[in-house]
Amino acid sequence: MLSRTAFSAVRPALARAYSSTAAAATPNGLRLLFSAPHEAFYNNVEVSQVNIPAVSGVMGILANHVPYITELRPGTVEVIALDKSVTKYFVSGGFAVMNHDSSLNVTAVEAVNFDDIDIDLAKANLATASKALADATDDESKVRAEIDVEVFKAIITSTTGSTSV
Amino acid sequence: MIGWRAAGFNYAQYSQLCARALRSVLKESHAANVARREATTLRVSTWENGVASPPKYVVKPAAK
Repeated sequence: MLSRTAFSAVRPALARAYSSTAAAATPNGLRLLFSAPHEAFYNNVEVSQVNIPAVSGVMGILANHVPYITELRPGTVEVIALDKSVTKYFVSGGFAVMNHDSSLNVTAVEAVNFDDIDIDLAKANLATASKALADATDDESKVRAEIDVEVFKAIITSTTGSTSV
Repeated sequence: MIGWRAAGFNYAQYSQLCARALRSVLKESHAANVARREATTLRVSTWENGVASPPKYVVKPAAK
């Protein structure tokens, strides 16, 4: 049976080991690996901050963030580079994995730069989808329309910044 | 929350539906690339006694 003094000597050493490993491995910053199946937007690029649309809410990830895995909802991935320039992408969904070595993996099923989104088309599609939702009779078409409405609303609020859609 | 699981969808289908919705609002200049991303083909061959049957298309490749 371990004596009380021996036991308390062991525990603090273990606690220090984790945080010093993280600090030593990442003297500088957050490395981002952000990709969709068709394109890698950031391949191990050092950035300042990344805001991700986790299902539980928008999360701002900085270097040395606690390791985390989360599903992403349709929303904006905002990348703030070292020179503080901001690039925004809309992702349809996917996952974000924050690792202990300050690398962040964001994998999206579909991701597009804000510049490539046609907002008028999004508004038109939202109107069509809302009508389809109102007209839907069975569960399957109702859910398909709900998914469309959710994504189009998220696109419009993200790109235009308006909260009323 | 959307009850897609209750309606019989699985997560793979749900995420593909979200992706399709996003692809539908891209600007004209990107429309061509997008069509290629959505295209899928599926061929199935069944095995019996260690012999594979000739593969049959379930989803045919899009005509060029």
